[in-house]
Amino acid sequence: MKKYLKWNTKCKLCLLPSLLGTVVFFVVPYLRVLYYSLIDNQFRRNLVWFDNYIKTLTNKYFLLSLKNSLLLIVIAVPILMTLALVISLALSYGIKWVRKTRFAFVLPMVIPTASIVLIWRSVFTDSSTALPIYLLFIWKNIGICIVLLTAAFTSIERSLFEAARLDGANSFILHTKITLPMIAPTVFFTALLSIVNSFKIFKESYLFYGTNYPPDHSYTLQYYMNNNFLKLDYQSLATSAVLTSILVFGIVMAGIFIQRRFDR
Amino acid sequence: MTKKILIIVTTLFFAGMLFLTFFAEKIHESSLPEVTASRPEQRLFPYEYVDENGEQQTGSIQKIAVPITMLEDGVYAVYSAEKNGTKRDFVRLAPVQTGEERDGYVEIVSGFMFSDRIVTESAGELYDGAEVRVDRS
Amino acid sequence: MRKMNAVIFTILALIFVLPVAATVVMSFSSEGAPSLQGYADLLFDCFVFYPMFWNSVLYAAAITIVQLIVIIPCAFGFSQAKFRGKGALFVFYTILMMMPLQVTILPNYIGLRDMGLIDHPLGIILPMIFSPFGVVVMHQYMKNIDNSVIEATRLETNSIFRILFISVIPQIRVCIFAVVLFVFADCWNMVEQPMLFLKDDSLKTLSVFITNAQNYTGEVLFPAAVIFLIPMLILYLFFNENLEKGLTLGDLS
Repeated sequence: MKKYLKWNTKCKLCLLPSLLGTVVFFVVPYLRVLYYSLIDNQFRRNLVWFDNYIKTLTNKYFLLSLKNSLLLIVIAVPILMTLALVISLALSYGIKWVRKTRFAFVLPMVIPTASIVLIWRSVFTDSSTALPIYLLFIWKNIGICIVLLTAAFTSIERSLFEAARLDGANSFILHTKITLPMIAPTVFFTALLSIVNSFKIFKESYLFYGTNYPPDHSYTLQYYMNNNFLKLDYQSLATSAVLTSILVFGIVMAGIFIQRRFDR
Repeated sequence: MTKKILIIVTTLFFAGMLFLTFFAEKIHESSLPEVTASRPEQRLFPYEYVDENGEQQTGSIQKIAVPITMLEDGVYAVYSAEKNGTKRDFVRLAPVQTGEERDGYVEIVSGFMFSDRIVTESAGELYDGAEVRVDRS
Repeated sequence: MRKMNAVIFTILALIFVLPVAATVVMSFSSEGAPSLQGYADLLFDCFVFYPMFWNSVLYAAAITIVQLIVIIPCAFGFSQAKFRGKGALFVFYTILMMMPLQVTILPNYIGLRDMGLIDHPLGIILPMIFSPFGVVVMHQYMKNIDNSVIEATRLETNSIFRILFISVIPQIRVCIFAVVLFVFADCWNMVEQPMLFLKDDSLKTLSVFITNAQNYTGEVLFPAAVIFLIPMLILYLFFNENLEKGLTLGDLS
């Protein structure tokens, strides 16, 4: 019994370095930001509670950046997922080829951002729409989505298909009753991954436009936060950071909730 | 087998970068024309003036001067500028206006100042804006 | 059907490789004609390039190696230890992993400034070491490992190090490769942190160089981009065989 307890403690100790670092470099700074969002000024430090939040939520630039970020999630991710699903479906019959071209598929994600943006800039000289950024997002992520989804497709055992077919099920039922539930976890994971990456695309966007003030259609939350940081407007920065974290928290929680319900 | 090729390529790449890190500057410098530069000389030139008695006198005055031969190729002044993050030496073609000639030297009315460094010898071809290696001996 | 598959595959593969190939081609051209001028300008005329290159390499290597030392015990602890709130803690890590960089980087700056680590390499290295991505991924993978091997090793020794080395690490080799690849890629790509946290140009990284390339004379942009992607490409090729197995990560719960 004693040895078991010691083991458990040892395992808990394993977590310590990571936890310590996380607390020092993420939790503590976040709490400070929370504090900054509740005060009026770096010098006077009066607690004004939600005044800053009201100011930010009515700031037209914040709303613009929020709109653009959400647009990216709501438009680019579904397009990405649909394309990936369609292509994966088409390709799941040719397993041999997948392994050979896997190299090319994950390549876009692995190539450093700065290198790719150069060629993107030369090709997409028109910056009247956010199309270059959307295309860059899809180009980067679709490879790995296809890889994940085809892996899921091919892992469904053929025997299940055969058995259902023998029972007289037609193609439609086959796909909805067997395929969908079995690939659901992977689809879900891929979707979440893509949403997270839709935030990360800021780096590409920033390098593409090369300025802190891109055209209106590409001005996302990260630009807003970055500019506030450069302007030393810590209050707006803090509030928008907290609001963004709430947004991400909401998305992740919604995701976990949907997944739990789907698991049944 | 591909793994072996990969290891060879990686070592070559990093060895190459390491080599370049230490020697690129020297390699670049060796391709630059070497010049010797110094302050321009000051020579005595005759100078006419009217003294207290109203008589014309000639005296001497020191003026910046360069050898006449230098004017054929052009007078180059050395300056330092930052290029790509490091300080380098360049030459510029000084647009000189000349005055009198005397003893194989010609007076420089304008074009550069006494504090500039003028190229006296150069091992290679010079042009306006060329980067050079200045012999500091 | 097979033919159509082959066509689709080739088209896709080409689409993915095309921008990379185009970048390489552009690096060898100057004023529309093929030439090595860009590389000459970069390698022999732009000496700030070298410290920045090695900074990128060293930061990324340091971060990756130390991260492994931190992550592997942590993921192991998550899978073995039992305590209240373990699930919640893991969810916390997951949420932290999903946060966009700006939310954490800017509070980080304030923290680093108070620690006096601005304009110091450690200011870049330390926060990145504790990025939660590796913990989450590795823990997911560790859930599927064979506990019996661990039990067997536990009979012989109580030292965590030995258990990790002998029974755990060999099993999660694939996952380690995958994590190393993505963590290194993340660090290699770092642009905001060097720009905000470092003032001295000789401490900055190659990613910053390419971003600021308009400050440099000569056609250094594309050659720099090519040299920038070579180490990543090498790493990717190196782990390509091991990578595929590590990609079927399953769900998040």
